[in-house]
Parts: sequence; structure tokens; C-alpha cells
Amino acid sequence: MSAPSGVDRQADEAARVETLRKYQILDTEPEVAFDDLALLASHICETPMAAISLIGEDRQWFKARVGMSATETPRSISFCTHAIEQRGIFIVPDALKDARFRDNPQVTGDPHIRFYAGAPLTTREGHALGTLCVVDRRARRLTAAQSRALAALQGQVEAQLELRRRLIELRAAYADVQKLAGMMPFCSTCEFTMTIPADPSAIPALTEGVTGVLTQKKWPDEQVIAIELALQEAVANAIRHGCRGDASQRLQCTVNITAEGEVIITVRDPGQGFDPSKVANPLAPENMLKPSGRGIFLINGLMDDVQFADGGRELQMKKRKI
Amino acid sequence: MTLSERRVGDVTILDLKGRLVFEDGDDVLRRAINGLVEQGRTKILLNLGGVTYMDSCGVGVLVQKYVSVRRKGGDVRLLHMTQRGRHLMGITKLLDVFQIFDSEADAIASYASGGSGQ
Repeated sequence: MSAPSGVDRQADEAARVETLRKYQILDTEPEVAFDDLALLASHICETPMAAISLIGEDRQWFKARVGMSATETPRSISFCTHAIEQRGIFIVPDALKDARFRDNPQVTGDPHIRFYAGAPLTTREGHALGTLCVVDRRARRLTAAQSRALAALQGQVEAQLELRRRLIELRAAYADVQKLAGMMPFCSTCEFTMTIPADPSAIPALTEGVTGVLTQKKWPDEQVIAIELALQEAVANAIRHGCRGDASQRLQCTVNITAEGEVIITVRDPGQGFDPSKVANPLAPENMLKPSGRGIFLINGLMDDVQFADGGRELQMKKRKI
Repeated sequence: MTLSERRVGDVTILDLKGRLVFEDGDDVLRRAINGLVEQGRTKILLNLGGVTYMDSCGVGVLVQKYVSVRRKGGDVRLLHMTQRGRHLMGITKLLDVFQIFDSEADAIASYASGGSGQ
């Protein structure tokens, strides 16, 4: 595989910095979860210094630090910048013997780094945002056990970061949902069309969605319950008879809540249709104890107006708000 | 839907929890009652207090099993039917078909006083 070109590297770096922004973590207050993981890394690796660094465009900033006074450094003198360019733990056993670092002001001056080990913190997209690193003022190595422990702690820091990002995404999604829900009572007309698989497990999402909208629009509970059941019956009939239980088929359901306070629900299936006038009356003595045949009767009882069209493939039912 | 089974004397009580609707609970209940009938346990009391939602398929199973258990000399009686369940059974004129109880003790006593199924 050829090395990435300069243009590719620039694009990748821009995407990495953009991803880091999604965590909204730079310049935030210290947090115990990150502080504890840095402390554990320093104890286990027996180093006087440890940090969780995040590499921004032109600086590295420390979310957690042990034994270090600086809160950030220029990226140009950062060891971690090197660490995020590779996979696995990046180790500098003796900075004074490493041409890349021996003139680094962090080596020649405070905090006098000689040893560095950094485990890159990688996102779900594969971008390395920074490192969990341990630092010493003397040249040394990590034992195999310390390397394994550092890698395990790296996973924990990554999990904390992921949790933070999920929470941010969840809050944003919830805010969007609240905005939409908040608009519902003020929508004078509300119409939506859904296409669902002819799968019984899809019914609750549909019926609960419709009842949610009706409740938002202040329909009385008893009417919402009646409409929910009528819709349940209509969709169950369409799946069982219209689609003959074939879950690869699709049903279309349109719900229109009009400005005049009426709900009009249309359920359409792709089946053979049927003759509604030939549906038996379930209250007739010979049908009373039959196990099926009550769906359409119930829909008629629950809704104000029920019409069939297109040879029985389309059912339209209406109810007026009281 | 989940279903648990208890016995009080020769009466079997099935406690239903969840939805009793098309393809969600209806088959579980059908098979449970079939199993009881195969064991000759035909005095059945269905506790519907935990049924959150019922449709015509749920009602259909109740009717189907009511008919088949009575043919075996037993009965299916109902306990703690919710308001929504009563409304549904009312529309379909089935409230007079089933014996429906609000007290478990009364339901069990009804089997002792009324024979196996009557």
C-alpha cells in the first residue's frame, strides 16, 4: 500500500480535528473519571507524570494530568502528536538519545522528559484524538504487564470519550424531538403517510405514533383509545388478509388530522381486495362464538364513518373530535 | 405477553401480563390452554388484570378456548378484566357469554358451587 499523499494527510487531519470538536471537550473542567484513569496509569507504570492529552489544530490540551503543571503546550513540541500517527503504544525510552526529541524544550527544560509512552485514543471512525500517556524524568522501559495495563486503561478512556459523545448526540436528538412535539398542538392541519412492512411487530410503532400525535393535539382519552383500536384492527386485517401474512409486502397508512377537528385514517394494502358487503355480522347467533370476524364490526363501532374503496384494498375511517 | 400458571384446588389460574393482540400474545394463550386441556385441567381462570391491550384477535382466542374447553366439560372464566377489555367485550356482546369476576376468591368459589363448567 502506498503512503498517503500530502493532500490526503491534510484532509484526514481536518476530519480528525472536526471529529474532536464533536466531543466538546477542549477547555472543559477536570472530571473525576478522566483524572482517576490518569492516576491509575501513573501508579501502574510507576511514572511521576501521566496525562490524557487531546491534540487540537495547533496545541495539545490536557483533560487530566498527574505531576504536570502545564494545562496545554504547543503542538509543535508535543510527544503525543507523534503517538497519534501510529497504532499501538508509542514509546520513547530515552529522549536524549532520540534525534526527534533531544532538542525539544520539554526535554532540555521543564518538565525534563526522558521517557514517554503514549497510547492513542481512537474514535469510532478511526481518528486518534490524543493519548493516554505516562512520562518519566529518567530513561526506562515499560514491563510487558505495564504495557498491557496501559492498553487496558486506554480502552477505558476511549469508552469515557465515546459515552460523552453519545450523550451529546442523544441530547441533540431529544431536543429535536421536543421541538417537533412542541409544534404539534399548534399544527392546524397535520397529515403524514407511513409505509410499513406487513409485519405484526410493526403495528405498535404505528398505533403508538398516531395516538401520540392525537394526545398532543388534546384529543380526549376515550376517543384516542377508540382510534388506536380501530387502527390496530385495520392494520391487522390488512396484514392477515390483504398481505396474507407475507412480511415482505408493504402497507400504506395515511393519517390526516384536519383543521376542523376530524381525523381521517386510510389504510391501503396490495392484496386481492374483498367485498365488504359480504362480511358476516359477528352478532348473529351463528357467529357469536366464532374465533374471528369481529375486526370490521369493531372498526364500524369505534369510528364515525368507515368506507372501503378500490375493491376493498383501501379502508378509510373518520372520527370527529368531541 | 407473559403468562404464569397457578393452581388453587382443581382450578388453574393463568396470570396474563402484556398485550393480547394479533400475533402478540394470542398464540401464547392458545397454546397454554391447549396444554392444560391435554392434561385434563379444564377449570380455567384467566386473570386479565395485567393485560395492557386487547384487540379482536385477543377476544377471538378467549371465545375459541371458551368453546373448546366447555366441549370438554370445563369452563374458561375471566378475572379482573380492565375497563378497556370490558368495553371491547361489550361492543361484541360477549359480556353475557363469559362469567367475569372482580374477586379471585369468588371466581374459585364459583367453580366449587357450580360444578366443573356450569
